[in-house]
Amino acid sequence: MVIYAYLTFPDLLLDAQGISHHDECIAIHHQGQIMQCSEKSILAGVMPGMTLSMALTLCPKLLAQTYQPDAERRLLHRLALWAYQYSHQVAIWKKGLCIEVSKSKFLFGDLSALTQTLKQASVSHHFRIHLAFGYSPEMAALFVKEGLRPKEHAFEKTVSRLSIDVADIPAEQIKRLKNMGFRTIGDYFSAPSRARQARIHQNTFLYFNAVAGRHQTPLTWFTPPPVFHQSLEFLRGLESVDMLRFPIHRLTQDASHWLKQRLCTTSHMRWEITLEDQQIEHLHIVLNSPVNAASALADPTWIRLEQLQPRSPMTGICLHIQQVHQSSPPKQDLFVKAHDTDRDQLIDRLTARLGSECIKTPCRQQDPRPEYANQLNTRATVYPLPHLPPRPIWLLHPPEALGASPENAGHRLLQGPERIESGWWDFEPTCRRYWIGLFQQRRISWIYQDQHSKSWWLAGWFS
Amino acid sequence: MKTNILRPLFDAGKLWQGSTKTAIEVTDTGFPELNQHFSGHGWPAHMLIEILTDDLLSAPMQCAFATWTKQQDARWIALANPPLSPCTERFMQEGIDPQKVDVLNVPDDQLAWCLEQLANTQSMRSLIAWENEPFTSTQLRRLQLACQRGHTQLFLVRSLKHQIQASPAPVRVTMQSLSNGFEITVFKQPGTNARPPLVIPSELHWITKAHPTRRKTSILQETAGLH
Repeated sequence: MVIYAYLTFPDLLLDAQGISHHDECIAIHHQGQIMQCSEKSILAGVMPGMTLSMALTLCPKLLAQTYQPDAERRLLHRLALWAYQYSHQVAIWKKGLCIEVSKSKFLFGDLSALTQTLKQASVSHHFRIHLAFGYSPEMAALFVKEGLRPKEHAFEKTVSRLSIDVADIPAEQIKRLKNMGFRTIGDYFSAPSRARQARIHQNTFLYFNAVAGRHQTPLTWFTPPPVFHQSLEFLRGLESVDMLRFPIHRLTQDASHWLKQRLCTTSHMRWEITLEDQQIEHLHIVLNSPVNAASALADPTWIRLEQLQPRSPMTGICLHIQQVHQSSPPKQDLFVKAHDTDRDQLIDRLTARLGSECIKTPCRQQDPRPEYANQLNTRATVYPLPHLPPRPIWLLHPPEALGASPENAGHRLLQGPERIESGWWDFEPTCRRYWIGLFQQRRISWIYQDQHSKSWWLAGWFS
Repeated sequence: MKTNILRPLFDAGKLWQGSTKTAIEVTDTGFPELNQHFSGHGWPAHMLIEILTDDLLSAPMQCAFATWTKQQDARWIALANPPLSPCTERFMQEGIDPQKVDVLNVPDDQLAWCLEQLANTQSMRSLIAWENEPFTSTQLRRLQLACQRGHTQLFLVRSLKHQIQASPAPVRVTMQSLSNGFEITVFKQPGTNARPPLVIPSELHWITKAHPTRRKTSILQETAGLH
């Protein structure tokens, strides 16, 4: 039979605010009523269901936040994305997650091993979960509500022992069932099916069938979004860029999960930092090569952000990834070296801090003129080297004028000349004779005489 | 007893005594006489090497070229803040693949950070950097640790005036250019004491002997045009 896991998040509304609520008295309210409150505020006497004015009377320093359905929805999507790594069938259902785990239990072991895996993962992601398994989402939800987690062989027996009061149906329906003499769910199913169907509201009938695993509720399965767009809001404006370290870590972790689940990589990230004065700082980061590791996404971001000087406190940060590339999983090849990948990350870090022009590669173009043939570019283009006389270690750009005679400038001609006549096609014709010279009895120079002007120039140094 | 406890550090080349053979990895200097001046018979492969000289152009780059051509692998080499533009064709003539060479030009106040990033990376084999603003002792120590972590060799060209100052660099040499080559003095290195100066002669044989490409036209022009 199909087995479902149902996960609820006791701190869902608090977590959706994107703030640490463990050491603060915080409550979420809607229409004057407390919906959820932090542990510290519970110690101060605040309870869910209480009016806001009562809560503020009990705890004057209570930080009351308005319920934000959008933030709650965004967090549920984020959690669904997290759960997607355990099963390809995840649904957002009744402010929780419903996961089809029939096949996952073979991957992770039995249901208790899967429970441990989910619990440990939730702890590492800093959110609390309650979970249970059942033959249907309704059965699992009832177990979560009652704090039960029976083994697979005891699902039906445990359900039949549950009181009819715990059913997730309207109160008048429960009253009606009780008046019929049903005290437990087992009592309900002991009655003939035809009699129940005739006397009970259809929705209630279908609900109990779903609880017993005899009726499948249609679920809308979650699919990872085609673009990554996730944001975090801060309760209090952050004044220092250093304080963004944790939010960036969290967003890049989620982006990395999203990319890995889609077997994708990216080389473009767009960050938006919202300031208190409603201005938005845009940061567009282009990576040297597509990546999907969290550290490879976070490092260049952090280096670029260190240079940012926000004009006012920051109230939110958003990461947007649109351009992705398909990637294949890394091959476990004995001969693949670790340094093949760390070079890309090195270039990303250097260019993020120093700009894309800071690192160049010597290139050789197909041009006889040395200043055109030897260039530094961001992309390496190296044409084969023809048989040339020795070239110097260093080149001077532009060449240094020596006047009418090299001897007067301290250069004694040793070997040459090498005649270079070229450039007629681009209107920069060159007609030179290159010589190797000795400068002040110590250093070997590379000089040339321009055949048009007859002047001498220092082009480079051998040593 | 104490020596036994410290043995792993000795074996790893992280600790050494004044006159013991070290087991550190080295690269051939390219000059047989200079190899004899090092306890490991070559430049330490994963260490910060200070080159103290007033000749920024010639001797340091000759040393770097000589060792780079002797030992090549798939990793990269780099030049940070070189005083002039390096010639690609010379790299190719020396047998060094230019596609495996990085040339960096960074602001002086970013050079230490940049070198640390480079030295920390396993894809980098060896790099040479020219210091304009003097590094602090902490920065030098961080560079040495980065070299050990990333298994990178870093030649740091510094002004000769730093010779009298203490430095955390495990290898320190001075270089002075002479009319017939350059003089190198290894005054600090792992495993042994300072060594007397050594003169590395200039290899000018390729200048004195006629080059194969020397054509008749060259000789004709030499006689006709210049004299």
